[in-house]
Amino acid sequence: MKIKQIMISAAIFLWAFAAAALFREFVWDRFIPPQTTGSSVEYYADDPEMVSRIWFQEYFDQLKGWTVPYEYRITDARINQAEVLDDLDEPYVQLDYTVYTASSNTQIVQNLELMTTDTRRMFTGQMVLHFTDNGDGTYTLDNKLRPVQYQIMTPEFQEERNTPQTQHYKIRTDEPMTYYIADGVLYVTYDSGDTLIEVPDGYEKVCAKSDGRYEELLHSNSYIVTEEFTGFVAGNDLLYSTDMGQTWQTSHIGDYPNLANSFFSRTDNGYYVTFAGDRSLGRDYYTTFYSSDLENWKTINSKEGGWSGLTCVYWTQSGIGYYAQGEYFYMTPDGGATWQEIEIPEAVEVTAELGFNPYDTVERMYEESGILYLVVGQGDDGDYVRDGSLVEALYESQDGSTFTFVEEIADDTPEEAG
Amino acid sequence: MKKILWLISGIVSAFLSGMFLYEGGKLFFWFHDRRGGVIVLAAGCAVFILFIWSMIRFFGAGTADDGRMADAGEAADEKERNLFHDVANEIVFGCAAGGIILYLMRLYSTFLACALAAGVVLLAVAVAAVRLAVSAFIKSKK
Repeated sequence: MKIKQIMISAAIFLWAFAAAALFREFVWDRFIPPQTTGSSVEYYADDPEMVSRIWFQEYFDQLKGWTVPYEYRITDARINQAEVLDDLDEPYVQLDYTVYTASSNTQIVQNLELMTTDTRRMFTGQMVLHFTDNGDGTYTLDNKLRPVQYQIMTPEFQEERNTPQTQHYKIRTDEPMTYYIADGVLYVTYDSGDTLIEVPDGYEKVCAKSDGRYEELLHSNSYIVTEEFTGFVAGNDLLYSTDMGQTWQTSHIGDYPNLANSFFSRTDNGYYVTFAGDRSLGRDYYTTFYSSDLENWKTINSKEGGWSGLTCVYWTQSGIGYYAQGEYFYMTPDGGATWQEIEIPEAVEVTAELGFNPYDTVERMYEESGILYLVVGQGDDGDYVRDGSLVEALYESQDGSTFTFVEEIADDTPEEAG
Repeated sequence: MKKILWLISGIVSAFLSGMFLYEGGKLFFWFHDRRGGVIVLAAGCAVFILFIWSMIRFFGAGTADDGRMADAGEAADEKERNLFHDVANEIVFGCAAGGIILYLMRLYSTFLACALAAGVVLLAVAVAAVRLAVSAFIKSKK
């Protein structure tokens, strides 16, 4: 073939390819996902299960065929189990089903709310349906829920939700000096749990929350357990001991409604307690109190706009204060007179591997051998795990203002106890 | 007339292979459905072979029927060429049929689709081989 003929052939192919691509996209673009709620089925008997089965078949039949784009296209859908639920006034029907898709892709999983299985192109799903009888032999689907959404509506769940739940945790074995809570008693230990010293009324004072729950997982920067000084923020008081838990004193800080996280730091010159003392428009506003003698407390200047949503507050031995609002991180070198924002660099290796930076919430800080350490976690929505456990990013700083990524460490939240 | 048929065959196969290649590419790159994408791309490639052959025949067809009086040597060459064309036609159309079968059957079972497509291609190759063998046999008898 000559060059001219090759060029003509290529032009024909390109034209045909473009026409085919346009044709496919045009057909797929015209596809409108079938309506779920609001759609009707015909059935001349009062049988919610049969109505649901008919609706299911009609709904999934609309997702078959070459005109359906691959993010919706299925080849088959079968009901594995149908169950009439009668926890509410009206009967709902739960369908457990299997869907065979035309392509194995994540979009169809999201669009059809499916769950993956070990078999390629085979997915499972669950839905809870409620139909309204129109009185003319037709039923209209007025509610399509996930099973968990239905469970939330049930009276049993509502009752359980209204009953405050307290979560229990096992003792931390990696910290020789720490606290431990068992059977409604707050203990401290200075020898990895061999000896437990009870904090009198500590559980009630430190852990009790206004909703009747007890918070048994204390924020790392909200208590200090050392041989020289042990202290917990207990509402508006500081509960402390200077003789390894043999005697306990209370220092009253002020009269505020203690609403959210509390933070406590001890420096060479005094003690800093931070807690939320005010709430407005759903936000907690924090105040920091300073005392050099554990008798007189004074407030520390906040940055302009005040503090809300604090995830970590830490004052170093030398008296430099660090405040974190999620990923935003501030420092005051002069007791709150001036504030400067500190940039926490991304963990470059992790970001390069994952394509995003999972670490967005400053969780805790500590000092060791003169080096300041900062732990940045993944926040409440974190799901990045290594070796089966959530991980956090450890940073260090020699000068207190520049932090560098050191390594990933396992989340040290104590294991939940039964 | 032959030229037009080959042109139609080329356009149809270009459209079909373009559709398969586009769909396969979209599955592979857009939806990250590697296996599904590769199968449809393979179907597209199989049909693309028919497009190439159709274009070759479109630009080449007719040269054998140009009305010239052929001598004995040329007639023998012509026979050889026709035999080659027939064999190639069988294999190429077999490939295209295999590609279409692969595309149509891909949703039922990957193994079945591949087996059926391979079977069709092998059948075409077998038919071509038989044609060659018969031709060789006749030639040896002369």
